[in-house]
Amino acid sequence: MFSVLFTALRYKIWFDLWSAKQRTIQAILTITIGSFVVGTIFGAWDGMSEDTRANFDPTRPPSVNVRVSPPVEAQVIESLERDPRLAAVEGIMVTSINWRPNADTPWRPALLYARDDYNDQQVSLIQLENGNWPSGRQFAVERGFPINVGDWVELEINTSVAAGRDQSDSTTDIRVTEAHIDGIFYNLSQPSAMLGSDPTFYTSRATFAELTGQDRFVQIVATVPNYSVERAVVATDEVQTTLREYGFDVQPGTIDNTKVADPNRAFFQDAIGGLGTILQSIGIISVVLGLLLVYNTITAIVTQQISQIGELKAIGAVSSQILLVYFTLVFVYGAVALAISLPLGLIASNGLRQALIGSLGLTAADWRVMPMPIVYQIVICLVAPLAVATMPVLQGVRVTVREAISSYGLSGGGKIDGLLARLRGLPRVVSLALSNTFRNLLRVFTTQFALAGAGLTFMSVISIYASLVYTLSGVLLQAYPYQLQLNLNENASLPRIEQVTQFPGVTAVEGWRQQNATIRKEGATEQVTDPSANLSGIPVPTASYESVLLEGRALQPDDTYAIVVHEGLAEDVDLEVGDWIIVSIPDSTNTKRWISQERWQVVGILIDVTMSGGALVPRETLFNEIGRREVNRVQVLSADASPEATAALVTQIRNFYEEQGIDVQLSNLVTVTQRSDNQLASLASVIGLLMLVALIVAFVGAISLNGTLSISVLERRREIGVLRAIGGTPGFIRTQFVIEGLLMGLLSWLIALFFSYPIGYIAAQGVAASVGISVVYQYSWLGVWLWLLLASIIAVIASLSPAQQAIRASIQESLAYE
Amino acid sequence: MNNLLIDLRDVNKSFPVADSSVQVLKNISFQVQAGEFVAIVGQSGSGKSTLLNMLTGVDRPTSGEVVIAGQLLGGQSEDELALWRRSEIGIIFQFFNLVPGLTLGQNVRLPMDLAAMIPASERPTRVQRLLEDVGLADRLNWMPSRISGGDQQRAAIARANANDPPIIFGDEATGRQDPRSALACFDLFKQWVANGKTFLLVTHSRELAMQTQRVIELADGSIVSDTQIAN
Repeated sequence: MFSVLFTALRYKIWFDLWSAKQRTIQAILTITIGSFVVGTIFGAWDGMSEDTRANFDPTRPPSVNVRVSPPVEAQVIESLERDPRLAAVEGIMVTSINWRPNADTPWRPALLYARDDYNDQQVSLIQLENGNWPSGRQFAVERGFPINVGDWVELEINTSVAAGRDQSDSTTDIRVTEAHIDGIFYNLSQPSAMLGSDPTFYTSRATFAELTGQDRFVQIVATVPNYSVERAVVATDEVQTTLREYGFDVQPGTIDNTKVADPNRAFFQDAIGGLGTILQSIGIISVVLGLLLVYNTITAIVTQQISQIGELKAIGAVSSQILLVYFTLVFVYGAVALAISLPLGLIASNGLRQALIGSLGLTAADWRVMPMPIVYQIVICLVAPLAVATMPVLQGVRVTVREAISSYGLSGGGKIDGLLARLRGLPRVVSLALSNTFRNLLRVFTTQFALAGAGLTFMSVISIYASLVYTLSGVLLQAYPYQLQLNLNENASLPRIEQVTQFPGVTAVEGWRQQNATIRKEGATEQVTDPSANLSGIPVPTASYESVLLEGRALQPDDTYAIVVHEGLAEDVDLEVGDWIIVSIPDSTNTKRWISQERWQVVGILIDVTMSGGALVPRETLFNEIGRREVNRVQVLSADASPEATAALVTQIRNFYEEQGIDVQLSNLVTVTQRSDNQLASLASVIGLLMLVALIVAFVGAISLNGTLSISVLERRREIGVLRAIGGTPGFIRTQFVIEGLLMGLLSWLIALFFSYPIGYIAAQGVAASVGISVVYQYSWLGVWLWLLLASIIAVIASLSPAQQAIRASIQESLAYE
Repeated sequence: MNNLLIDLRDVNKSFPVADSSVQVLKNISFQVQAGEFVAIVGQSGSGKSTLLNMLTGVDRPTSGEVVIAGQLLGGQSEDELALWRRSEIGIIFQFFNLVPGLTLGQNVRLPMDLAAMIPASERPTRVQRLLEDVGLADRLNWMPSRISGGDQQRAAIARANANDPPIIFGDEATGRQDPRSALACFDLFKQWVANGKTFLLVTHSRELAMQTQRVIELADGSIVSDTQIAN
């Protein structure tokens, strides 16, 4: 069968490739783009998984990760080390501080971290990137911040005076110290600079104790031998029981609010998974659109060459030989596309991988060659085009010799374009363009599929973007109409904190009570793995919080044991509005017992990315349950929301509270705008990728339309020659193609518009779920009008080159064209 | 004499038009012996080209049988017909139907490559000789688009004889030639017949037809006369 390739037909293949260079370039470019995007995306994705492992595995991640209150002595850690269910145990000291590079800059929040011996780390290992491990009065800082070895910074630290086991007995003082940076650390368990987090400073245990007045550990991390979830749960249970027997409260220490961590799964896996979902969607969209274009191109080639197929059959070529000729043509397109897209994909995938891994604050390998993406590229270039071409080629080959020789081609149509051509009152150029646009309905369908698909993707992406921005920023700005939030290190009575109401510009002050608790569904057995909930006791009604609800209602003035839970918590515990839950509040002085264990009814489920694991309850009911009418969070509303006025008010209020002996937790003194900015920064990669999707689909849409119009020129070259021979000016021909392009663009916009709301909604929910949040869907009209504009521009640009092509050929060439 | 090569038996051909049909060929029956030079004449629309399509297996009759060299064409698939055409017949199309991407030499060689009956080593020489026969030896490497319609028709004549088939069909095979070239081509057809080939020429030119051995005249889809010519 392959002997046909050694016949004169090989020259025909070469001629088809070479004589129609624009069509050849179009086909190769189409396949190249699909393969390139897939190579880039899947290469980056697979490489990111390798990088993730390379970053995460060497750190000996903990299986047990808990925070303890009050902090524990070294002897407690030593006693846990003797437990055979634990392989290695370490205590970590960490506290909130402020820092600034010099006295001229404002204080910013940070963390101060220490462990027993940096040279003998057992669990959750820190890597030294540059400089030295801190000893004595030396400091180090987490990498990624604008602080280098040799720099001096100022640290503002709360110093506990006469700190006892019960923190309520201690008093605090603020101390400012100059710190010389001797090392740069890479600590995967601390928030990354790239995610908009605050810096972590490191020092020796002795210096930490000297500066903070606290030489005990607030966090315990441990590994279990031969990890399994069951073993880790048993070990965590044991640690918790032991600590509770000593009188310590135990809270989750991991980012995702659990006490048991899977050492085989990095905590940032969800974020990477979200990126992966988006990346893979881009890949699939590109391939589908690309293959549609290949289908269009091959159909056009076969349609155009139907008479040649007939001629070949007439002189003795059998179907298999003709099939082989066209498959070889497609194979050559694919092979050239592979030769181009493979190296480009490798380069781009490494670039994208490094950018994304870098954006997560992780270390990326210099160069990775991932085998599976190469296999995908080979399939996309060499197999998929052949598969896509099979139908049009078979259709062409099935045509009988008589049909082939005597007919124009496969494309029929005629009814719609005939009707359109007869529309009265339209200028001739418009009616001709209308008629030509709908002449080949199959091609209109496939082009619209690609172009409307691109439009739909674009509109959805803009809606996803709008939804994410609204959820991460707009919801916060709506939910928190206050300007300032101050967390207090100690509880204070309402009258004390409300004194700031008298400050000029302050319009309202609210005291909230934050309270740790565990929750479980009524009827469920109490377990160590019951999720923790951070209860916010709020005044009802509240002036400083407006719940953005997924279901149910907000708290009402006559509510007592009503609770509005965060959607993440609702999902963890499988809660619905109307469910009854048991809320257990531990005694802060004796965690072996609950001070409250009551039934509460879920009345609402809210969205708020800053309230993960949280729930709202009526403040008065919470006061009654804990037996104290004290608050530990203050929210201030002011008349002037400008950053300058807010900054001035922050200083004023903080100084006032300090003078009153109310200790303000430094790192949680934030404005709502800062919170909103931090949230957006944490999803910058996702948002950036969404914009990349929008650009890619717009580009593919442009190529699709350009391809369709180019093919249309090729098919109608003889007809264009006739038009010109009877007096059609180049302007007339050009206008016809531009109108055709605009009609296709407008039609694709209308189709995309029709589906954009539901598809955008589904896509937004999918993207949000993949990054572990829920979104409030915001349909973006901006995306709709933007795509109309883009589709029009694409249509005009894409039609200009074929129009030019149509008028470039001489009338004689056009008339002689076959 | 029992040297029957072409046998048409009650061949009818209709084409659907809207809700009815048009009968283009009506009960056509005739026989052609091997080595005959036959002209089929008639006015435009008389059914000449449709009849030629029946004879070459390009189209199938609505009813009746077409038997060529003992083979019934009606029951064969498109591929079987293609295999048959490559070795048994040559066709000179009215509109030449050269493959645009191939030079004249490659177009002439193509049927040889497809059939592989002539050894590959002999094909270049044969291509050269066939083009010489039609006066195109110097245009071996020219593309069809660069030469006149008459030259393209002569290249199509050369291609029809590529595999030295026993039967050649020509549809207005000299219609695009100037008188001198047309005469040269006709002489070539006569020479082929003299060498034992059977030639069926479809033409509207009665003058040309009279130079063959037998003229079958069609009118309105029926044979109105079948005359032996004494040359």
